[in-house]
Amino acid sequence: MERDPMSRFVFCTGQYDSGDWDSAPLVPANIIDSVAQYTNIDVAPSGVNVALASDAILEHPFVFITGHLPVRFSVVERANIRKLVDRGGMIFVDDHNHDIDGVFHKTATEEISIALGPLTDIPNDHELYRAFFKFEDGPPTTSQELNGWGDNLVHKKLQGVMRGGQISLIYSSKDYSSEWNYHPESKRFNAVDNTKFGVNVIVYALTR
Amino acid sequence: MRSRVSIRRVGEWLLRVLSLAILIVFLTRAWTARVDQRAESAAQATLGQSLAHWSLSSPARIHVSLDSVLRPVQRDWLAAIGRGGSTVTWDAPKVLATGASVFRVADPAGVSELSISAPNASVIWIRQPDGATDSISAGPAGARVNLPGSGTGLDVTVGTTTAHIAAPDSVVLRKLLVEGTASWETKFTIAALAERGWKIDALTHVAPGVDMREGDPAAPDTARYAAIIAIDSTASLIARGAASYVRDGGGLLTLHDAATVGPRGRDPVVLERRREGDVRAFRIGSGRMIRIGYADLWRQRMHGDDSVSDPVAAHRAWLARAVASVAYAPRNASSVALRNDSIADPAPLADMVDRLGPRSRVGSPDIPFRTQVPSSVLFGVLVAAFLLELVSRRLRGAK
Repeated sequence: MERDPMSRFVFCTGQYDSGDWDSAPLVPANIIDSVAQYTNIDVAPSGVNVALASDAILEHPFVFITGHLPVRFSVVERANIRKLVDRGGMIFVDDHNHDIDGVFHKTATEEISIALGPLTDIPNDHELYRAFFKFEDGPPTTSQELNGWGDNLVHKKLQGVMRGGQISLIYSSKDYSSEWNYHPESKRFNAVDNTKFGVNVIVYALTR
Repeated sequence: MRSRVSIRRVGEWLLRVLSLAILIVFLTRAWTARVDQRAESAAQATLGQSLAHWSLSSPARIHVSLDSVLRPVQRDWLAAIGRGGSTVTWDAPKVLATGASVFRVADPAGVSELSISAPNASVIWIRQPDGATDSISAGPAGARVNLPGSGTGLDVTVGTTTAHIAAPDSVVLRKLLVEGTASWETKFTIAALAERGWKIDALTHVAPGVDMREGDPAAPDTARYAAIIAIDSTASLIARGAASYVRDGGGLLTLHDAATVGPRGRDPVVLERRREGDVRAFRIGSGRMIRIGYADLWRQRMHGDDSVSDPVAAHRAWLARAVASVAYAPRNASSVALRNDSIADPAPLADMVDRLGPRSRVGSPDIPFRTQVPSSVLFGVLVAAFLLELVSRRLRGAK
């Protein structure tokens, strides 16, 4: 029997009216490639871009949000984000600026607080870091952090919104959007696959 | 052609038969009058006094006219008088047949199912011990209501008949075993059932040799699991033990992608049907199996339906009902020992019929050869027939 493509895990990038939601277009393909390579998860071969203001966003319990520019959610976008999380979905927000003084960070964290509540630090021994691959020191450092771009900081922890002991939203200042924004074919040139943490995020979203 | 004499003889013979018949009626009336002197009746309002009186006088016949079903103690008392030699009859034209039963659903949320038999379109009143009262209308097959809570005694009233139901036995709810590959279906099935209160052992297959374990998943066993749930065809732990587990009384639930897991059932009962498939129930040995033909149940939770105000709760309730339909939930032995059935009267009219026999026609019982013709008229006819026959015989010269 042919399986409904939507029954698979579909990597969904959230579109929001303000800002540049599509600033890291190669991230989905790269993470999909890693999920397919390392796990048994039935993953759709390509991702989708779905407007946060659309009801269709509720068909995707995992949503990736990134950008450089200021983020201002509309009332509908905010309501859908709240619904998605209340019903058990998970959102991964990454600051493509890698700058805690940047406009994305300031506006996105403010919008998240309004929609879902305050962000708290995710401890580095959280099961997110053991969901598939083991990251003993917490979130893996990105080359953007090591190169001194953005805020010139190495962020030791991710932040998140917790619901019932589970992470409902992960907020990263580490700029995984830049770190993972390359063609999957190029992965073979890396000594270490830097998308492994992306697999952990997906496995965590699907199993917790 | 017959002679006039022979016609007259036939007439005389008929007059004799008529006289004899009237004499038999008189004899019957004399006998039944004696019986009637030993028959008594009572209405419901005076039944208390009458029962005490009948216990001492032992009338030959007792008839009771009722507006509502007798209380159990009165039923017992009347039945005892009947066994003491009195013929007891009763009528209750306004009393409606009503019966009710309640049992604990295999659901940790504490749901009891109340089933009521009542005449079609009758109004059913349900009263809980705390005084909360609700009403529903009976359908052609009575009514069925899910009550929140672990179940208490209830009064169910239809017309003038009230059935008293004792609190249902509590049941032992063991864990659930859920197995499938890492997917939204697996995640949200586990989440919904855990939110409902089920304790869950889950085995989620993530990669070759990499499983995520929740609890302590083990091979299916009725001593360990109330039900086992296969999310998809990767549920190998369940597949290995499902057939014997179900035959031993366990419950198996297979979701859309696990249609090949478990024993092959025969003669399914379709519980629900939608455009995209159906839900089929099978009885296998002592156990039950349900195969859910709907793909992506998790969408009910995330995207919901426009008609559902809380899709998360709806998804949770739907899955909980499916699990409850198959779950092995033996009665709690300690609750059976402590149960107090003394006030239970789940089917009062049926109990009356059982103790006192079926209800009779309204009024006194039938007495044979009773006619409505007054005795004076009958006596006049008797004398006339006798004299006519005598005169006829004398006029033709016979003795």
